[in-house]
Amino acid sequence: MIKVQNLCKSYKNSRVLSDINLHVQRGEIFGIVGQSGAGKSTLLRCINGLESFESGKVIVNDTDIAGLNETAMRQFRRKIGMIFQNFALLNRKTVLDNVMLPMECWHYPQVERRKKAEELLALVGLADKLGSLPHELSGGQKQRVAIARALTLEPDILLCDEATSALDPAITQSILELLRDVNRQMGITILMVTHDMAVIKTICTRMAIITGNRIATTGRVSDVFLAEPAELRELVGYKEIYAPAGRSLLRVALRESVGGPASLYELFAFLKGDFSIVSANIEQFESESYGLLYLHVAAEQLEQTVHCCQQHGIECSAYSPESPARGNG
Amino acid sequence: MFFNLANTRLFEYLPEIILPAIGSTLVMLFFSMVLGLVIGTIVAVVLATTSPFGLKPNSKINKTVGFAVNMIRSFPVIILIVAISPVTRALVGTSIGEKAAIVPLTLAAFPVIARYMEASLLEVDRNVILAARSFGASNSQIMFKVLFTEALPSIVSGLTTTTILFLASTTLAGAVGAGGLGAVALTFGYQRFDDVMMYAIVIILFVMVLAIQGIGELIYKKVKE
Repeated sequence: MIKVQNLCKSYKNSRVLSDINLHVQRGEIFGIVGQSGAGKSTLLRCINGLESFESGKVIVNDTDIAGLNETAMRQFRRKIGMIFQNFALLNRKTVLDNVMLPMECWHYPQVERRKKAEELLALVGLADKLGSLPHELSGGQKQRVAIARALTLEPDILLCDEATSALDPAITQSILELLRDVNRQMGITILMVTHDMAVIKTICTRMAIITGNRIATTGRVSDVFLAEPAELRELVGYKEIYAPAGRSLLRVALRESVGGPASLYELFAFLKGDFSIVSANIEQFESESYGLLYLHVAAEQLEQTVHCCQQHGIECSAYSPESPARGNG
Repeated sequence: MFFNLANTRLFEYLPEIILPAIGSTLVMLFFSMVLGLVIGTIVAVVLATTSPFGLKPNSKINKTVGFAVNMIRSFPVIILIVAISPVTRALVGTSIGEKAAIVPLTLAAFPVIARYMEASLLEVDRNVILAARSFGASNSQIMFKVLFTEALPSIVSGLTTTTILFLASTTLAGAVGAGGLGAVALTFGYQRFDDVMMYAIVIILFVMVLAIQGIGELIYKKVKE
């Protein structure tokens, strides 16, 4: 659906994106995370041609966007909706007029415009706000209007640029549910850029982490969180837990598919009671959830314990709270 | 007594000199503002489109037009009136009178209007432009359906300021034979030592300023909602 190959971009002398490779499949919700200034938004804008780039390829629906002239580019953008952090509504137009604007630009007949806009506003739950002006709405409602506007031209893809970053958690949740509905019911592929891990965990099936202008990790969200690579730790921070002298910390993950209580029992039996649980919780993702356990064991038993876990299909690794990338400094 | 009411000819002149003068001041102001707005809008669209922050940056066009606009703006209105009198005569057949004054006043007004409008257009939130681009709006659709819509209140307040500024300029035009309130204040008031006459006209101008400001604010409020 969306293929980005070896994309490079600079502003004047500074690199913004280097050697980006990305493949988003039809119908999925793909999340891109990274610190601010990492180039996430720029990447998103390269995909619908709002930003140009020096080298590499962007192919959307088998169209190489580099070869498009201005008219073809406008036509191409028609099929890609976009929403923004600050909603980007016209303050002087009513909700209805805002939603009708894209159709006005594409010369839809007046009657059709109105019908479609009313339908979409009902879909996003704002059927009673047609005549309101944006400043009369809350942040969540404004984003709903923006979503309705982005859907008017029946796009295949929806790009979300920090779409929930200006909203509080409860509202964020409701917007995410709306986006999930849009994804499932209309089959629209969603590519979202965010710095909020909760957003990624809640609705994305796959994710990519951008650090230092390049993609550091790509994969299924639950896999990435399970593997917890250095770049993910840098983003979410690390768990401040320490083992007492002579003990070693262990991070144990129990997936529904392989782990389960039986294999956990095997592990505890192996340790013969010589362990203590420092932290335990259930991590929930869009597609699966798994148990995550931090425990400490005798330092000399660490290696054997890891081995035991592997035998029983439990994913486990030695854990130190310092981020691996930062070392011990 | 400071004002000598006994010697003033204010009341005598009121119907036949002052009232027509109000009329010709308004005519000069109205036509120079309307023409200035038409030309100014075209120039503002060119400037805002070609600006480095515009929809289609083009530094060559932007600098050339910007240079011309700045040059005209540097002329004091009274010099402009004298300087372009041959052009005025060619255009309207005379270089004296209110019709003639409209030409230099328009010429002086359009760059001011263009600059105010350019600033208003460039102030519109970048994200709204990005959003319009993202659904495939063309540059001219963005300019006229998005930027002008969003910038309208700011354009209105710029126009109010410009209109008041040029009310003062029409009185200057009076000094070089255009007629209007400026000429009356000067010839019948100042030069005849008729202070009451002179200040009466200042008061009339003051009321006109208040009226323009009031109307401007009313329109602003209307479009802001």
